[in-house]
Amino acid sequence: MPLLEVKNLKTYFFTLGGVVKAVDNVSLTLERGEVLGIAGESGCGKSTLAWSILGLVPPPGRIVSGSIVFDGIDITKLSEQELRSKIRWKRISMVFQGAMNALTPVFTVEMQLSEPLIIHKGMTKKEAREEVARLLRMVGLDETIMKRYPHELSGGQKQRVVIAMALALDPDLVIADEPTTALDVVIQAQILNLMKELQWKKKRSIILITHDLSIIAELADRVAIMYAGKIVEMGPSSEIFTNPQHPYTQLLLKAIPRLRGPIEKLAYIPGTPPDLRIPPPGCRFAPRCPFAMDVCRKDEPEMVKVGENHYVACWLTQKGR
Amino acid sequence: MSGEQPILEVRDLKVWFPLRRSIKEILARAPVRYVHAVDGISFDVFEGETFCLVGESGCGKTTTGKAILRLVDIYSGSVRYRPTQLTLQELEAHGVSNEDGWVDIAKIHPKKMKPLRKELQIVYQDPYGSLDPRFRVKDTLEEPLIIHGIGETPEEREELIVKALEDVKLVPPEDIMQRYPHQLSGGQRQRVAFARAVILNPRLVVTDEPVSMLDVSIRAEILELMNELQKTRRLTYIFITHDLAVARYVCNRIAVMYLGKIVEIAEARELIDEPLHPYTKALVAAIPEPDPSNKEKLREVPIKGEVPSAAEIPPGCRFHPRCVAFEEQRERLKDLCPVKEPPLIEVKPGHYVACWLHR
Amino acid sequence: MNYIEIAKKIRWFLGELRRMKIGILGFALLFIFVSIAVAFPYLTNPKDVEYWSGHTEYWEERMLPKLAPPVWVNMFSSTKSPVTSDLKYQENLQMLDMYNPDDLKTYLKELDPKTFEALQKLPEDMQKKALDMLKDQLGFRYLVYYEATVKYTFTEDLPPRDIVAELSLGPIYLYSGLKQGLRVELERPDGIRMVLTPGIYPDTGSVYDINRYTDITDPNLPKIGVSFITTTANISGTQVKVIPANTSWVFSLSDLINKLLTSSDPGLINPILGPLLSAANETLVPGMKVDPLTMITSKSGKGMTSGATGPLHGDYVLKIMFLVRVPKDHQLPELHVEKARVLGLYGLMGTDYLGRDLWSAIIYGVRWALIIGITVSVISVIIGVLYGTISGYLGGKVDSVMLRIAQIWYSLPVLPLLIILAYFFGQNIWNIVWILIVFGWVGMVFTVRSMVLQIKENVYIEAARAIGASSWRIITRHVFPQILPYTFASIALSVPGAILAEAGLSFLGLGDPALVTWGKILHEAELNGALLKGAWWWVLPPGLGIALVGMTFVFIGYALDKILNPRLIR
Repeated sequence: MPLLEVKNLKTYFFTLGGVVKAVDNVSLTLERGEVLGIAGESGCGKSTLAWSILGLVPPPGRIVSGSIVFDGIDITKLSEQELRSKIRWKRISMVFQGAMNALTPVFTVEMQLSEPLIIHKGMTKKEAREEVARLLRMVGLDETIMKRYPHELSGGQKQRVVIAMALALDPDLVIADEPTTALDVVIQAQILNLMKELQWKKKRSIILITHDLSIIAELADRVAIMYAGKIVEMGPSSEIFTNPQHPYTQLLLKAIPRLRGPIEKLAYIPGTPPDLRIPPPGCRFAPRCPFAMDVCRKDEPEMVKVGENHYVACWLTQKGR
Repeated sequence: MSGEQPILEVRDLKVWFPLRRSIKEILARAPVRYVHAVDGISFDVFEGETFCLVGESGCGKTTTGKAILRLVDIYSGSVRYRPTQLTLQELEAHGVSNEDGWVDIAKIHPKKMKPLRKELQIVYQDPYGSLDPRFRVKDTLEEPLIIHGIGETPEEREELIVKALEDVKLVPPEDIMQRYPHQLSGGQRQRVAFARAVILNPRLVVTDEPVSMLDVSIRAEILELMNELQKTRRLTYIFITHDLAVARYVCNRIAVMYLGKIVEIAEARELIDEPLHPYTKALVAAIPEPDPSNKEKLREVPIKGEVPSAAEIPPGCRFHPRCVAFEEQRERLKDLCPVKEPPLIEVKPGHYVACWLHR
Repeated sequence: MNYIEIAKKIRWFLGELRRMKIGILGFALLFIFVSIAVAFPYLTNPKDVEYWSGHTEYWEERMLPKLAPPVWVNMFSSTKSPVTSDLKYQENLQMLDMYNPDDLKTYLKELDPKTFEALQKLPEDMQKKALDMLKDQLGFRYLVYYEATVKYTFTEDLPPRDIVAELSLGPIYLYSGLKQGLRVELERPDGIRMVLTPGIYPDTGSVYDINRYTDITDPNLPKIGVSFITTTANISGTQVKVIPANTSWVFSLSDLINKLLTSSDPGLINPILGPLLSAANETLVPGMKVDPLTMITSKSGKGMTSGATGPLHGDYVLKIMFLVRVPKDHQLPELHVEKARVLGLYGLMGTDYLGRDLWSAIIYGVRWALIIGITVSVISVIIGVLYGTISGYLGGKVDSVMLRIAQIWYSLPVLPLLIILAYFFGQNIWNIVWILIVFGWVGMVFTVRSMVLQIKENVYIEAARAIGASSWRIITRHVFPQILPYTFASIALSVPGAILAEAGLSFLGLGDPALVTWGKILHEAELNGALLKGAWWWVLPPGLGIALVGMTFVFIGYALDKILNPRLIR
């Protein structure tokens, strides 16, 4: 049984201007110990997907239909109280976008880290302090940092503390939403190394959400590409990066400037993503797709298997098969 | 590009920001302490090239860009620029003298910069913040024309606006003109920012991370637009970025900055393929690439610790506390790196580096 | 921005406003207040406020009840009170000319029947001679009898506060030895009749009998409140005391009896109330607290003095009689009723201790509340915004100095200073307005400054500098438009403070003496113990007015803030 199984999830935002279909019929699974990368551009619904799994969809959004089964429990059916006491932090934790601001400025690192330990694990203050020291060492920080306040830490140190917080209760699943976006490349590389090491040491399930395919390549076993509220392609990392099937994935990869090799003309995708209040009929990528056919503009393509564990929702591949 | 003439010569440019003094310090007449945002850098920019300033946040690359436009106060040094004959006359009318057709931006009173502003422009990183949300595109583009008295009538100005919008491929201009920034996508906004920058027919445009806040899928489009504008309008770019990979695609030459200093300048490809400075090496090594085999191994970034504060710059070579090479050859270098600041010297034709390893 | 844009903005604003009930309420209230302020001359008599202070004669002439509750209290009370209203009256004037033998005969027939009979017996020519002689002995030529009958029908549960009549009379010449008579009678529905003029003057039946009247120069008369103004006139070389023509003379039933009751001379009160008291078998002990109107309008019987017998409904007839004797070659008097009125509840807002119509003052107060509130807030907000903008935009040393000045200014103890300044300069409302502005602007500075500091950091400000925009252009085109909405909201939100400050100063007696403001009404109420006297209608309306206008602007400010605040707009 997979650790997480999301089925036909729809999370909509009911705004005054209309219903924004931020996550529209998304299904995915996550095995234990697996790292799933979810990539997509801003507004594609990847963050909403993360919030949905945590039961934290901000109003006016809500989960309209579908199920999120985590370790046999359907999270969509739990009350806020149950989510808070049983699932969040304990079983599923998160490293959020702009995590540097996730630390309370008036608490020392020790206070931030020991609070969940005392509340959820019932540790004494002393036990908690030892555990905090262990966690800090684990994320490569000196334990003397415990007594410091967030503003006395650098960006990279804060990010490490945030990761330590996410791992404090030894959760089964960590959702990392743009964990390195605000960091400089050198620190980003260090944090990615840290996450790799932690992952190797203890097989943890991670959902890594980012717009940066390069970062996904560093960590993910499997990759899901989202576009306009839908997953358009999903498969093993090696497949996606070397043998992308969906035109969107292909273009996205060609758009990334490389540091090595010949300087090819970078690709770009003309136009802008659709307004999710009134998505286009058929394939949502069709208006921007250089290979769009008549059928693309009429009917929505289904997810079909194109390789081992490799699924694509595109009429091109379906026609060819 | 060495065949071209330089258009800008920066020499020993320093931009220091005074730190706020406490009352105690003022009473004790303690000297003013400074943040050394840009701490003595020199480089030339040639006409028609794209010159890159690369570095991590806080290295002073943006401040350098702003100093060239005199948007921040310059502490010392010179920023010599060669304006057109017409602008020179205008400057003279304002009482700004020139030296064989060169003016020193660092010495011009900010209020007398106005004639130069037509020639020096800037495009910012944040397409959401760089446009006044209360201004329609038309208002944003009309403002520079009004300020510089270009176009006598509203109709004339509108013609110029339409032309600028067409140049940045925002069509139909008549429709775009009436829109507010929030009615545009990020890419469109950045095009408006470019339109505003080029509408005055500048010669040197500083672009401060112009694509880093845009989605990957449209970055190339903006970079291509920049390229086209450079060709049609004969622009010289100073391209500021943290991303060496992007720099490799757009720049002729790259200068790498660390803590307010330029540590290495070279042709773009040479700098990335054969970096000489240990910091450049680390920077190159740290850049992730969409290669799935990366996940099997740790990325080796030859650097230690983190960037110190610009208010407390280490003595000697400011990189030495983080330098792996210094660590390895501590005995040999102990009288150099922690003591003396390395000068920026040309070690290969067109390849400059400031490191004691490359004496 | 062209006018289409502005129209669009306004439409957008109204659309947003429609969704904010509190804003609609605020603007509706403001509309009402402004309408009241504008329509003031049509809602009440503007002279009321013009003559509010220091013009007691105006208010005496208005002849309103003092400390009268508003008329609508009857709606909320089971015991009804009479409402102030004019009474019907009849006038009757008779005159005898003694130079006319028939008139003289009539006079003799009524007052000196013996002489008359003797005269009748005389032959015609003798009679003529006798009459000729008699007429010169009388000492006057004309005998003018004037009678005003005022009828009051009492139907309510509580007694009226007073019954008053104003007469215009004169000239009446006051030669010594030539008595001029006045008699006032009151007849109750149960037939009991009281002579209200002091002294014992039996009713002889003839209205021409001077002995029936109290001398209008009787020293007791002035004491009981119905005083006459006298001057002197030069009549053929001699100075004569005279009540001049068109003298206004006010008769107040309650004043009269109150003064009698407080007099220690039982010889004065007993003859007057005698008939009433004896019919009820009651006695009045000197010093006893009695409400004269209650006693007079109560049913006869034990306990009547305290009104325990219940009200006596029916017609009360008040007769005011003058007998004026005019020597020959003197002007004839003219007498007539100006007003006859029962005093009870009055107006929409009642009256104060001087019988001033509070409605006029309250309505007028709206005007000044709005003028003061809006002037002070608009000017102080503008100053504050300018100061804050300049300080924030220029930054550096200028900012430090300006900020420090503002902080010092802000930390001054405003109230004591206000009181001192108002004491020295506050004789004029505009001085008060200036004083309030001087202390009001600084509150804005800090918020505006921090807003400007924040706006200044926007990249588009630097972009504007990069294209060569001057500071002035940046401030006016890029900075101000963002502060403007906040400015509007602040103006609305600082109106209540200004109104309260002015009311506070006026309440302390430091207001403009020539103006009627709500604070001043409260000040007078406080000074005259309004609440001790139970005159809630004197205190509540101005208080509520201040609160309501304040609330109006708070609502508007809140709505503006919600709608226009840049933080809340995308």
